[in-house]
Amino acid sequence: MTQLIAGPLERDPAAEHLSRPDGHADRAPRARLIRFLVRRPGLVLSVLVVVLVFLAAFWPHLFTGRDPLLGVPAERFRAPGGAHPFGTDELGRDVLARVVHGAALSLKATLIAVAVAFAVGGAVGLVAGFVGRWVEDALMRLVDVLLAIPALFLSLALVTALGYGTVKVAVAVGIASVASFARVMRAEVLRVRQAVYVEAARLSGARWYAVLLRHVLPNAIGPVAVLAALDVGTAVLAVSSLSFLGYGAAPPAPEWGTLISSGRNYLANAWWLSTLPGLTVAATVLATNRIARALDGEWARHR
Amino acid sequence: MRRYVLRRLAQAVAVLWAAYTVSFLVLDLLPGDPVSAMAGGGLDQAPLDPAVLARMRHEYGFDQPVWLQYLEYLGRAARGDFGHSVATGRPVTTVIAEALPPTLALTAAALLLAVVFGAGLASYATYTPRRWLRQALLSLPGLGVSLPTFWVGLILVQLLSFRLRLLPAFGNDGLRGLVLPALTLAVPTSALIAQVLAKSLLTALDEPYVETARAKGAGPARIHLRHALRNAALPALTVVGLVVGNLLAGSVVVESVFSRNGLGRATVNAVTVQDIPLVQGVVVFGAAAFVLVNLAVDLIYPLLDPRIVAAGRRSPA
Amino acid sequence: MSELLDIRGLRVSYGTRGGAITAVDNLDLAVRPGEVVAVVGESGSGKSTTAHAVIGLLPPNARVDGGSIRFEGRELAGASDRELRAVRGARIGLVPQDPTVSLNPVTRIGDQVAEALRVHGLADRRSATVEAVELLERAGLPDPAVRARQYPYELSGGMRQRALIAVAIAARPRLIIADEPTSALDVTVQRRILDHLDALVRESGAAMLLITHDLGIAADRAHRVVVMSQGRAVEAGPTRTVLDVPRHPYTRGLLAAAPSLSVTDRVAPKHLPDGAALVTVEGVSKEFPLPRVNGGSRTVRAVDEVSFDIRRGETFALVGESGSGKSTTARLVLRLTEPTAGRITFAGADVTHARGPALRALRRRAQLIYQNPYASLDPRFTVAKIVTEPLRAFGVGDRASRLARARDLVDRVALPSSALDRRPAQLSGGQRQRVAIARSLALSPDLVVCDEPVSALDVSVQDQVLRLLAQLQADTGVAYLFISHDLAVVRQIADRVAVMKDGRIVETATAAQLFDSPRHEYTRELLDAIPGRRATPL
Repeated sequence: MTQLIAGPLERDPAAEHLSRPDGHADRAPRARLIRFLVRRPGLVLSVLVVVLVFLAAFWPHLFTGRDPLLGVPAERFRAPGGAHPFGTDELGRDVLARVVHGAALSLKATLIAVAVAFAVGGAVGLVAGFVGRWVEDALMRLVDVLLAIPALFLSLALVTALGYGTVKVAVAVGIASVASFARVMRAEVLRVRQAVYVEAARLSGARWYAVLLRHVLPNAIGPVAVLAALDVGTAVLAVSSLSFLGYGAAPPAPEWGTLISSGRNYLANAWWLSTLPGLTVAATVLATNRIARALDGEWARHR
Repeated sequence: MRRYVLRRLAQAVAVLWAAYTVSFLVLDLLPGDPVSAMAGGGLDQAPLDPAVLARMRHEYGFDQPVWLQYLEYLGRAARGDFGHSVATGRPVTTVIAEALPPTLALTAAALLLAVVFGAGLASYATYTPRRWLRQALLSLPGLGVSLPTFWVGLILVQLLSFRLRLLPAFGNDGLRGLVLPALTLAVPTSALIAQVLAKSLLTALDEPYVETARAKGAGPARIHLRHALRNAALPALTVVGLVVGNLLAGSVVVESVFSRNGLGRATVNAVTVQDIPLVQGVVVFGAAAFVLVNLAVDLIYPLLDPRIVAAGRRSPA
Repeated sequence: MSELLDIRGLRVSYGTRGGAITAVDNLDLAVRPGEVVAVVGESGSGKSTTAHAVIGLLPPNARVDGGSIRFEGRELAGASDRELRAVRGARIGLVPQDPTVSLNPVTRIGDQVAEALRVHGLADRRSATVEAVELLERAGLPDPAVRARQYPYELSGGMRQRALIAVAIAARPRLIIADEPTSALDVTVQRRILDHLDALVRESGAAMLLITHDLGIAADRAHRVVVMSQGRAVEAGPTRTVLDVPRHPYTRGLLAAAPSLSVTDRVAPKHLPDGAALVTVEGVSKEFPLPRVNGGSRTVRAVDEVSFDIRRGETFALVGESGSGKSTTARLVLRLTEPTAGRITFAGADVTHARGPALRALRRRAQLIYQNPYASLDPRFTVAKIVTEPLRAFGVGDRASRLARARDLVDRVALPSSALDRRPAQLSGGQRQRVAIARSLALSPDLVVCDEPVSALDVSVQDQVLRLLAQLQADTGVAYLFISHDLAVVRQIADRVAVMKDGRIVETATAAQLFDSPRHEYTRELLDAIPGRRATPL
């Protein structure tokens, strides 16, 4: 699988000096998975973080019984402590409740953004790579242009045209990532299409649609899926940036970027207002990136 | 070599034209009436008199077929005229030119910091024989790209300005005011550079030509600098070209966090009041900056890698 | 005479996730001054690891567990990196395996040769530059002054290997380790380079440790041979003794399987070339466009007016070095590329420009086996799916009957039926090639094109696969178009042979004629270049 993530590589030089075993020593898959995870506590933690975010998005009451919108004036600016683990804000609202309830909005925006990028970019790349000729040229020039416009500028232009709101921001972020998906998808389709086994399938008499569905797509989709996993982190950051700038959900709604933004006015006396929601965002992005890296080859190499 | 330069130049012009077209498509064709938006000065103000709107439509040429509008605007843009800001009535090019200097200072400082930190970290992490130190250093870039930029800015302000009172938190004044914003903007960029350089350094160190050098009896420093780094610098250089666009766009967030004046601030204001000509101008400017920097990178490339120019001339055996 | 290099009881292991794997086990090996010692073995035998252990260039996860490596009386096992650096390059030179990737791509050739002198302080900047040119000349590189200013990509593989030889001999080392120095090169180039290396070593009085998988090369070049298998030296002694009276069964197996050393041993019975023509190729040419230069478009003729025919049930071999056009010719026969000129018929029908139904009919009757079995099998498919794919594509039978056919085919290529559920990554190289062979036979074709089918395999596996191909031909009457660079392999299986050079066929003859009385000069050159000819008189 193509390496999409720049990071420390695990190398196995022994493979070049020793003949490969014939693979008759299959270990039980479950034991292998457990072994794999036990050696990677960071990965286990990451999966846990993502599970928590999902739970918070769908069942916020598992984590907090408080109303994210209801302020208690008597409890303004309480520092983090027993009753309020994340403290309270300027209206006496519980920050933890706001972060937990904000997960739904942020997760929704993230998933929309990734889905748009994956669907549109993947389709463009697949068509370009498989059809070739002038279609490929035209599509890839368009992709070059989208790459040349800095992603945030492109998102801002789309927000200008579409207007404000969580969904619109999500679409704008998604469109801005279309180009990289198209590139990876095309590169993978081209790589697989030139693979000897695809020619072998063609020589065996397989028709073009069978080649596309049975060989090209299944072998090309892996790196694109990894990119999607990686793009989750990027999208969380981009969506929160745009809502930090004030283009996301309208003010009382507790979107993560908005929370950080509204806390900045009280930096000097209530550090937790920005810091703790920000840590939540950072933890989520770190976790999804770690999982993406595991998908990108680490597991395959382990096998 | 001249052919190479000419080809790159032609490509740059083509990308600029296409960037203009894309921004035109996005901003002028998507649903929503630009004139009422412009006249209203934002989304949340009272609608205007229909007669005024009709006059404005005519003035801006919105009553003409789309392709005529496009050609008209494209012709003007080619002469350097991107229209007038709706909010202030001043030429878009003037607004951008005025907002640019502080942003350029910010991005240049951030790029310098990012390259120094990123390259330094990657080189040292792959050089040190201490395994734990290498692992620790190599995990930093992954952290750097995961932090929201604006949050990093707020944390820095909290620590260095409010707690330690070392540096000013807000505003444009002088070099001291530049430190925190540049540092903030440099964090994700240096992380990206470090990631790419570390990966290509590790790959290069695994190449057979490094073994050849070892077999000559060359020491680790020589191998790292003369052999690995020279080959690994190429992908890292490409990344530096790519991140310049991100730095420019990142100024939007950072200038907003630190209340600095500049292109980013101007962009935020333009988006907020739906100042379409100005947003379009910023988008095309961003693409132009990206294209120019990458043109420069493309021209530096052959100096570092002798194979590049030859690629057009002969196919490898 | 005292030993120059004396390895005693060497043990090296690799730490992997599955635990430590022993790569070299209790190895004894000695090299005297001026002597050429060959270490022969198949991949995984530990021969390369041994070479790397000597100069302390083992990969990070490898460890010397025991034993001693004494060189010029100094102990190298466990020596510090600083001590080893003084030995590497200066006292021991290394000629690496693959010249195409062993030179730094962004540094000039001359500087890379000069570096070998500079790191040991044997020359200053100016004199190193001059000496580098002299060294390149000694290594047999034409126009050394020009080459010194060029970059690796501007040199051919053979020239790069000469540059690497210049690096290895620069500091006048007492021992040269040559790790498969020519396995990446064409046979004629291989021979010239080995001749030159031989001469250089002899005139300088240095010793050479020659690592090779090719018994023929060892037979030609070495005074003494050490045969390694699974990390152990199974046999060692003077070359003649080992080759003439091998004592260990492994050596005997290796000798029997080595195509270049077993002249009389054909794997296939000879066919009488009297069958009807299955394929006729008449004056076929193929031109490829070159990248445009200054607006002008040029083409290169990969195949130049080639004519031959393949008869039913025979094995017709196309032999040539890389770039001779033999693979392109095979692809033309299969209609994987469009010929520029000429005519190709298959079973009487003109298929030169076949498309649509006619092309599908051809696909059904002509199949291909690739050089790299791993690349030609979809990594996501099971063996059962791979073997039945041609049947599926042509709608032959239902699911159950196709599976029955797969079982039968897998059995025919001598794989256990448990292999049906495995994926390519779980099979060895030889097993993968068997799967590819099974797939090619699924539709009972008339012709199978074998494009270097055994050159990616170890010799003992090579032998098995060749025998399998011969057996299948006897059973099914299929004709083979056998593409190979290796005349020794061709000799074992082909009925008729065509020799290609620069896109043309220079000679076509029956195998017996070609090997006994070659007419064309190039054919003779190819025959002479087969390693092992000196040792075993024909």
